[in-house]
Amino acid sequence: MKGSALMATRRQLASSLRTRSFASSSSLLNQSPPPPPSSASRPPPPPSADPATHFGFQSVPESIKESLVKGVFSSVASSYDVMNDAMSLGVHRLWKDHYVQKMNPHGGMTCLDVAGGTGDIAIRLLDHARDRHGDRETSVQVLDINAEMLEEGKKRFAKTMYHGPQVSFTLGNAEKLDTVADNSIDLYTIAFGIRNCTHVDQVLKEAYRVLKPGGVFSCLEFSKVTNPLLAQVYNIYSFQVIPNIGHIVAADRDSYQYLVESIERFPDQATFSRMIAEAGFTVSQREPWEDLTFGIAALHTGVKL
Amino acid sequence: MSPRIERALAPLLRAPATLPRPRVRYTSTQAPAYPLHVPINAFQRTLLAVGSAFTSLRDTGRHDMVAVLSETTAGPFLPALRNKMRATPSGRQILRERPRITEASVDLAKLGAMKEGTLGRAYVDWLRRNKVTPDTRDPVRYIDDPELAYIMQRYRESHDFYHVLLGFGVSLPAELVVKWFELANFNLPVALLSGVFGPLRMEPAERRRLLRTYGTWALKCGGSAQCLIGVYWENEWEKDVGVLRRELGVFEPPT
Repeated sequence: MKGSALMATRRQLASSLRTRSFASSSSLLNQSPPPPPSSASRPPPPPSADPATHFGFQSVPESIKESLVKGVFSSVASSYDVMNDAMSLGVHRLWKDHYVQKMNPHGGMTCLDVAGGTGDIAIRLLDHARDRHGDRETSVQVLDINAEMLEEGKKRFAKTMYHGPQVSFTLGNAEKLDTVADNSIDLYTIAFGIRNCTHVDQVLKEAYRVLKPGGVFSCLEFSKVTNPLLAQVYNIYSFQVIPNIGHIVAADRDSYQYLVESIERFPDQATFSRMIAEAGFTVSQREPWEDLTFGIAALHTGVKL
Repeated sequence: MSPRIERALAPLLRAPATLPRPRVRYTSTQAPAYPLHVPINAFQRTLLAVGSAFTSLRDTGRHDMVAVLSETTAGPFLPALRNKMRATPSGRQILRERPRITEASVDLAKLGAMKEGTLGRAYVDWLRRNKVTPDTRDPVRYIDDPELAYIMQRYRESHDFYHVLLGFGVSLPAELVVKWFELANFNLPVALLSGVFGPLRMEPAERRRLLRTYGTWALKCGGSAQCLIGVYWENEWEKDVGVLRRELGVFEPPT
């Protein structure tokens, strides 16, 4: 392992890391330090007719937000699981386990896991159905806008026993589920994906359309910490630790900066719950949402009646 | 006491009734001073310095981590380097014009066609032999002063020229020899850190050879040579490498 193996040429690795980095993939927002005057011209400024939306703390035209988000997830795809563990200190696994247990898939349900790229939730859904209910008919369609994330999911599933009818992978947009028929899904799950969508209300409308009457919409997403003291600590951790861990572990600061900014931007529990109700879902009055880990994450559920 | 330390301690020295509540910045309120600039506070700087030190030692291929280490540890040493740069006419010209060495700014085809023995030709041959290009350098992000950030960027981009001048490739032992030279020539902490800890990742025989022969030579040569940060490499393409070495005070390594 030592000796000749250590003679890895520096630049080849550095250049491969840089092409993975979000900074180099989006020239529109992050230009490299000023090149000499005679170099090639910069990309043209975006048209002002485009309405602006937020991309983290930056303001970008709506039309390019999707491609920027795609760029972020293309660059984080291969280190996604490692970084999730590093950032949440493994707690994300507990959240996802609880999420699936609460949803309790069984009885041959047809599930749609949106923004489910790496297959975290999909595997848990199938495992839960099989272990707790002996159900091998439940199926999950994993849908994601990003091909690299989907590839990671396929790789993961290749190591499991699930294949054929129980799992399928679709490249698609949560705002426009063209490949999914009306009233066809029993359980719609979206974990840590909805805050990246440009039009959250559109995603909710599509979710309402594809669910069967009696079908359940559930969303696991980052939310606002309820305790003010913990909120301060969490804020420091988010903005001063996570992007640096991203740089060290994944050689990509900007994607993780986007991540924590997008968490900050996402509406709080009450607002999001209202948005779900506005899309037509019936939200429980007794427990409209469930806070996880003091509100760092929240589990929202709605039923289509 | 330095003015900076005095300013930091002032709230405590005023003897208030209660200690002032520390204002924590969640995001930096300082605006970026140049593209890709990320203003960070002392806590983040420490985190990055320690993290990058461990990561670059654990995985010697992570040169972006060496870059982060250089930026987070350079702090008080960059102004001294800037003074060295200001001491020569070519250094002052560099600070005025701020040339960059990237694939876009350097015409490799023209340099490759130059006479054998010139700096330009030697540079292109070296790039080809080691299968690298001028574009694989990470941009400086964590240094607040734009001029000091440029000096760090210049140091990083000129690194290849130190290789060419000293005649070493890009393998781990060769990089460490160049780092020792840089330590003596530039006095940057990253050179010290990588020079001291880098050899831990080497084979024992190579390490002995590094310390005994090349290491001592690199330190002597770096200490006696002119500070290479002030050299305007882009104006020296046509110069013979041997002549350039003599001018700068770089003598041949022992074989």
